[in-house]
This record gives sequence, structure tokens and C-alpha cells, in this order.
Amino acid sequence: MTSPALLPTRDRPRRTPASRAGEKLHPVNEGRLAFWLIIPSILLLTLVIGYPVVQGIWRSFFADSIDGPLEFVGFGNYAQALWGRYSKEFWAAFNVTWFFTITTVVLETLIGMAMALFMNRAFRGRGLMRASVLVPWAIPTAVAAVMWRWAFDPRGIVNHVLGTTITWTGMEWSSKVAIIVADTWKTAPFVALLILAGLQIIPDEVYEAAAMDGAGPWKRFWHITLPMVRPSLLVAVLFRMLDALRMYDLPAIFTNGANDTTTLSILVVRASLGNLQPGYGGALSTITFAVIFLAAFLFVRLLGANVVPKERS
Amino acid sequence: MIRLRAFAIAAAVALSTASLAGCASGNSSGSSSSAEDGRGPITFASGKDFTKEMGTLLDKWNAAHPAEKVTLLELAASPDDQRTAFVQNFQAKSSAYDVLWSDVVWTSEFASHGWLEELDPTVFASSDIMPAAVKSATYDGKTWGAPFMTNAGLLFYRSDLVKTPPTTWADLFKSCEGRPSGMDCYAGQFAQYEGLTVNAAEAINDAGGAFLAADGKTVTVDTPEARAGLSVLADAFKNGMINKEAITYKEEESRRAFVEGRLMYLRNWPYVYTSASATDSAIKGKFGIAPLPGVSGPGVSSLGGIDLVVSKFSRYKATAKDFLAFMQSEETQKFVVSAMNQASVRTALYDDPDLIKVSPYLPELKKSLLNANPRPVTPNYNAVSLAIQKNVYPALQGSVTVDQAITQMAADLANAVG
Amino acid sequence: MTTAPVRDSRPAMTAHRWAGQIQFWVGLVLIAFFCLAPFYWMAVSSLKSPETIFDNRLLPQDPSATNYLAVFGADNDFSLALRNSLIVAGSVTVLSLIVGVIASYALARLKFRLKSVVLGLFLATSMFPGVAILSPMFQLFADWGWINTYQAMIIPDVSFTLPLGVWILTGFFVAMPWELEEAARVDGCTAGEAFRKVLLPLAVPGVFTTAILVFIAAWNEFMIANSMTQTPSAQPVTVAIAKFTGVSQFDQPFGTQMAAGVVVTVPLVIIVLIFQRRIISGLTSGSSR
Repeated sequence: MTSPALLPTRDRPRRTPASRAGEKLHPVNEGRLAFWLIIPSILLLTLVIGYPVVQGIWRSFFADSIDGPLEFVGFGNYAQALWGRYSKEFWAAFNVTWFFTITTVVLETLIGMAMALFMNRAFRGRGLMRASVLVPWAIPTAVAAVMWRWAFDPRGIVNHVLGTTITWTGMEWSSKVAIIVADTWKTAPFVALLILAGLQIIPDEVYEAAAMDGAGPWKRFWHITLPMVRPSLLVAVLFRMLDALRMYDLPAIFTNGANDTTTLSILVVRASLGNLQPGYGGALSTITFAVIFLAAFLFVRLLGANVVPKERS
Repeated sequence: MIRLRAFAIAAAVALSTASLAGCASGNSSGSSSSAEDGRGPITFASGKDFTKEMGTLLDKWNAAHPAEKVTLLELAASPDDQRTAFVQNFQAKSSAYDVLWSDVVWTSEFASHGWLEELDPTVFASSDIMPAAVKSATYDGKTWGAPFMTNAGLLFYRSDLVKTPPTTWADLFKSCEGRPSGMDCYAGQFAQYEGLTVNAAEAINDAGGAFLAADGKTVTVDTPEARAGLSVLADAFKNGMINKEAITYKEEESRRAFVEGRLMYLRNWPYVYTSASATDSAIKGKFGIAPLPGVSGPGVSSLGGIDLVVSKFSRYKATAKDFLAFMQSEETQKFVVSAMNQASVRTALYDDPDLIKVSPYLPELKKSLLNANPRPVTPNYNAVSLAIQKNVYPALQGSVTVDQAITQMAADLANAVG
Repeated sequence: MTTAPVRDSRPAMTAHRWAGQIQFWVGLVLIAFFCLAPFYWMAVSSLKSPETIFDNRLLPQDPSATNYLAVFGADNDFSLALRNSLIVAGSVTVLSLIVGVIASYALARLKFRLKSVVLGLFLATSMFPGVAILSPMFQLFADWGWINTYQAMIIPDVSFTLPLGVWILTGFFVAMPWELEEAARVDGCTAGEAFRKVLLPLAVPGVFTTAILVFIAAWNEFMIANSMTQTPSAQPVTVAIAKFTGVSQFDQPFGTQMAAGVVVTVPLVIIVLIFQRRIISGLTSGSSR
């Protein structure tokens, strides 16, 4: 591979709203090129995700009987979850999923932002710092979850260090705290890494100019850093939200859903794999999808998290 | 552009060859139906072999059957992961697994979905086999599994503090009153998982309660007997006879508490015997074993264990069935006890003096096993077990009353089997 | 936390500068502690012998290599699993980046209709609970004879990581000024050359971040791998770790699992450290950051 010509940073252009005229490609050709560039991704996603999803949705309209032909029940499986015989556990799971999502995403964003700001400064040992922030994210999820479960054992290291005798995974509030702590530790680095990437393309000149104008650190953060990392930040929060709304491993390993920690994904796994109810399980995962889709849609609309700006005319 | 188009074409070709390959493999498995009930090399899918002795056993078979060799496929250590792998292969009608290692509570579920080959009861459910184990492998009046290993709960007690082990709950708790300070009275497995179903079933069955009727469909848990059974455990939590820490216990946490000398009485499986008598054990030589306690005399244990089953989609079912017979044979079963340190399904072996020398708990275990109760036999076992756990757990925590727990459990069970 | 309110730190005010420095280092130590303390505990646990595994002392008494020997013990096939993980995660990273970069370039730089719909579609594929996809996919791959193959893990992993990659990279390409491409085109570059020589180098922080996230996601993937591999020949480390057993069926080999965690994490972090130095320093040489 030929090494690309690197531009010295000093010559990096400022991100002023560029004039977007002057594209020489003919619009028809451009559309066709775009088609060919995007089609591999679409094919891949259709094969791997589209096909199973469509099959799951189709199956969600049929009853779960062990033998005999498939019986079409329309939205019957959905009704069971939303207001039928499973509605109590469904809405409990709905609420606790949102509780975990909001708490963890807020904490992870705050901590991740702090990490990124620190990592972006110049100091001796910055490389080591970046590597250590990566550590929690790099540990396999299953191993990290097992480590935390032992740490939160009544006789584990957490009680030992705090000098307490809390049965962490045996009570409601403490189970939730344990799950939030473990999740925040594991994924704040993900947010930090994405924000850091955004910070790295802010030219120094912008800060120098602002410092010369006498802007203090807070002012610089609010008026320069935040607006400029906004795209990266919003992508990080958006994808964290999608993941958190599908949280499964930590509550499953810590409490197996006891103490009001049964998330929507735990319900889906129980129905589809545990109880072998493909119809009801399909309905639950479609509802989960709808919940997440709505949340993402509102997020993108309200916060303008769309990474693509308005079409250039 | 040309390159891109080439890439797209390559991708399309790759996809279509993949689907062609799919047709090819589909055909081959179709044409092999002539080998139905035939003989040939088979695959035995088991949980991860913690005994490290399964290889020796299979070598013996393979030496005698060079044309029908068995390959061991060890799955993940977690039972849930094992079951998921089995179910996925069944649903895909895959012939990858011929003989499967089925936890006693899975057999009826697999059978009800039509995934298992029916077995001859005169061979695999003979009177030499523990009756409770046979019951667990029976569904809809037919035999679907060959019991291979069995298991029952035992009461481990501190023989240095208790002269004769109590047979009733009342005696047990009474004997705890003068226990050394810092020591807990009793523990079992009370975290919300399958072990809680086992412990709750023991308490409730012993008190005369039952979750489901024999048909596996009628909910019968809403009775005073069931309430009384659950109350034993709930009250023990309330008055400190069971440490509140035990709400997080699974097998290992409770074993540690006992082996470290923090516990007078422990309900657990026989495997605890080995580590409690090890040189680094704090209670070496200071513990004994007895049947579980009950309301009025020895209690009822839940039955654990493993059935071997033959997949409906196996290509070499004759070989598979022969292999099951080999695994259930007296010779193999002796090996199960002596080398693998597991409980045999053959009743006669519990009186074998040589084996008792190796595993002194065998006579007590036999009593427990003969009195053991299979957990509810139903194709919806998973949902049933969850309905039990979900309601027992808060009752033990004290966040709901036993009355509320049983009422809600009845409703959840009706949902689970209906 | 009792940090003083952040104040203006103009060069003249040396006292404030000192306060700023102290705050900075305190913050740094806090972050390092937050990230590393649990990992330290993992490493300490991995050095304990089975007898002392539940000892809560913060320094390992009498460190033992038992757990590490057990990880690489004969019945675990762990070296093979490490190789499989490297092959799978490496292929996923390369494929995901290639497919992702070309799609993001189109989304950010080319004009076509329904752009938001396409982006939304990418996002939507990350919205289904994973297990909903698992069973149908297993049946599909079983029909194709793909069980126990690398592609049965690589292809799903690429599709799971693609949406995030496309969104990150599109954001980066959008941020690039149009004048750059124009200048390159004026200098005689084709569209492809302008992309390769001008845009891509500028997007390196984004590409590199995406690569790390994709690699780690693939390296740590368990659910798909556990279904798609049945024999050690193709199974990655996460599945190998799930097969660790203790002395009984109930015993979770905590020490061995922690040792395995250290074994798979440390090389990952070192690789990232080396790559990061080379790429970031090459890019920002001459910069004060």
C-alpha cells in the first residue's frame, strides 16, 4: 500500500462552513456511484440482520403451540405483552430498562467526557493514560461481569474496602447500584474514545485565538469544545443508548433478573430461548425494536444528531 | 468504477456459491436418510467434562467399536449455554449431535417437541435403575432418555457440634440455639436461579404441597401445605436461622460457608463431601451427612442428574442406542462412581462395599434418592421453574408474605403451563 | 470530590496556574484509579492459588502461576482459541473498515436521494435484541454448512459493527472542508485519488477509533461465536473461557477466568498503545497537542 501523504497539522484547514459548490461530478453519475458504494453494506445487513428480523416479525403473528400447524393470531402476542397476561412483567421491564439506560448513559457521558478532555491534553505519559482508559472496555464482557459479581459478593472486595456488610446482589437498591457501577466502568471508555476522536480534529488555532480573547476554561469548553465535539458526542450517546436499551449480561449474571432488574432483553431471551416461545419472543423483540427506534428517532430529531447535514443545494 | 463493479460481481458470486453449497449439503443430508437407524461414527455432545474421565470411558467404547467411534463434543460449562446449543441444533434439524447429555428437567421438553428418539423401556428403564430417575426420563408414558448420572440433596452437619443429625425442621432449628457465636444455623441455595426451585420444591413437597398435578397441566400449589412448606424457609430467614447473606447463595457460596466453618447445617449435593474432607478444609473429620430434614421425619429431596438422549435427527441411531446401553451398563456405572465421583443410577451399586469405601456417603445418598421427587415433569419446565423462583425469592427476602407469594405463584404457574 | 472551582488560568497568574496543574493531576489520578483499580483486582485474583482465591488482601500473598498454567492447560486449547480470535477480530476489523469507509464516503460526500433513510436503516439494524437474530441466523448458516467456520462469526460481527463504524466515519467525512477535495482535483487528482490522498489521512483519528472499537467488539463477542462453533478448531477465546471448569460442575474457576481475562486484555492494550503512538504522532507531529 502506498502511504498517504500526510498533511502537517498546521496546514489543516479551519472548519468554517465551507462553500459547497463546485462539485464536478454529474448528478446522475454521482447517484450511481453512491449506489455502488453503499450496496455492499446494504447486502450484508440484509443477509445477516434483515432476514432473521423479518422472519422473527413474521413468526410473532403466530401462536406458540408445541405441535400442530401454526395458528395465526394477528397481534395476539403483542396484546399479551402490552395489556394481556404478561403485561405486568412487561411494563416492569420497560421501566427498569429505561431506568438503567438513563442512569448509565448520563454517568458514562459525564465520565467519558472528563476522560477525553484529560487524555487530549499534552503531558508526559499520555500514551499510558490512553491505554489505561482502554482497559475496562477491552476486557471481555463475560470476564468483567464475573469479576464484578465476585467483587459484589457479600464477602467480596467491595464490602471489604468499604467496611460494609451489604448483600449487594440480594436487595433491590444495591443490585441496581452494582449493575450501574459495573456498566459505567465498562463502557465510559467507549464514550471517551469517541469524544477523543472528535477532539483531535479541533485545530489548536481555535483555542489559541480564544485564549487570546481572554476566554476562560469554562467558556472555552462551552463555546468551542462542546459545539465542535457535538457530532462525535451525539453519535457516542446515541449508540450507548441503543446498547443500554438492550442491556442483558450484567443483570443476568448479577441477579438473573431478581430484585426488579429484569430488562426487556432478559424477557426476550427468556421467551425465545428459555421458554421456546418464538411467537411471543418475536413479539417482544419487535416491541423492543419499536421502543428503541422511537427513542433514537426522537433523539436524532430533537438534538439534531443526524451526522449528515442538510443536503447541499 | 470497474473495480467496484468487479467487487460487486465477486460478492454476488460468493453469495450464490454459498447458497449452492447450501443446496449440496442439504442434498447430502437428504440422501443419507437411507442410513436411517443405521450404524456409524457418532457424536456425543455433553457439558464440559469436569470429571476429566469421560475420555477414558469413550476410549473403552471406541476400542471395542472401531467402525462406530464416539467423538466427545464438550459444550460450555453453563447449563443454560448447553441447552441453548441443543435447542438450536434441534430447531435446525441438524445431525451434528447424535447423543446428547440432557439435564433431567430438559428431557420432557425435548421429547414434547419431537426432537428425541423414543427408547425401549425394557432396556433403559429396567427395575435396576432408580425409579425417580426413570420417572424423569418418562414423558407421556414413553421412555425418552437413559438415566446416566443421578443426584439428590443431602444434609451436611457438624458432627463435632451435633451428636445425632435432626430429622425434622423443628429439631434442626432447636439444635441451633446454642451454636457458637458467629456461626449460622442453616443454608441452602436461595439466589434466584434453578437452585432456588430445587430448594423450594424440597420444602414444599415435604410439607405435602405440589406445584402441578401428575398431568403436568393443573396448578395445585395454592394449598395450606404448600404455604406451610414455604413458611419454613421464610421464617428461618426472618428469625435469623438463615443468614440474610444466603439470599445470594448458589451451590458454591453455600459450600464455602460450610467448609470454612461458618455454618452448622448445609443442604447441598454430594459433591461437597470431597472438598469438606480435603486436607485444607476447616471441618475435616468434623462433619457428617444425613437425609434432608422434613416437617415430621426425613424430608423429600429434589432429583438432579443427567439423562442421555438420542436425537431424532441422528443418522446412526442404532449405534447411538448401543452407546446408551454401554453408558448405563453396570461396568460403566461403577466407573461413574469410582473414577468420576458421581452418583450412579443403578440401585445395586449403593450397597457395593468397595464403592462405599471410596464414597462413604453412598448409603445416606441411597436413602435420599429412593425418597427423591423429580421436579415438575412438563414440557414448559423453564417457565414453570421461573414462576416458582420469581415468587419464592421475594418471600424469602420478606418483601412479600408467604400468602401473597403462593397466590401469585399459582397465577404465574397457570400462565406458564397454559 | 473537593476540587476548587475552575478558574481563569492566564499565564500571568502563576498561583492559579499551579492550582490548575494540581487539579489536572488529581483528575488524572482519579481517572486512572477508576479504570485500573478493578483491573488490578482482577490481576491480583489471577495470581492467587485456589486455596487463597477468596482472600481480600490487596497484595497477593505468595503469588502463584497456577491459574496461568491452567489457562494454557492441555484441555483448554487456549493458544488455538487466541489464534482464532485474532483471525476473526482481525478480519472483522479490516472488512468492516473497508465496507464502512466506502459507504460513509458516499453518505458524506455524494449527493443522492433518501440519504437520511439509508443512515436510519444502518442505525435500525442495531436496534434488535441480539438473541432475536441468533436462532434464524443459526438455521441459515447450518443450512449452508457454515457451522464451525470463521465466516459464520466474521460476517455477523461485521454487520453488528458496521452501523457504528458508518456513523462515526460519516461524521468525520462530513467535517472535512470541501475546498480540500477541490484543490486536489484542481491539481489533477481523480475523485478516488482525492479521497485516498486528502480525505482519508485527515480522517485517521476517526478511522483509528473505529478500528479499535470494532476490533474490541469482535474480540469480545460471545453469543454468536458460542452458537456457531462446536469444536475447538474454530472457537475464539470468549467461548474457550466459557468452557473452563472447576473441580465440580458447580465450581466456577474464578482464578482461571481472571487469568484468562488478563491474558486476552493486556496484549490488546499494548497493541493499541503501539499503533496509537505511530498513527497519532505521525499525524499531529509539530502540533502542541
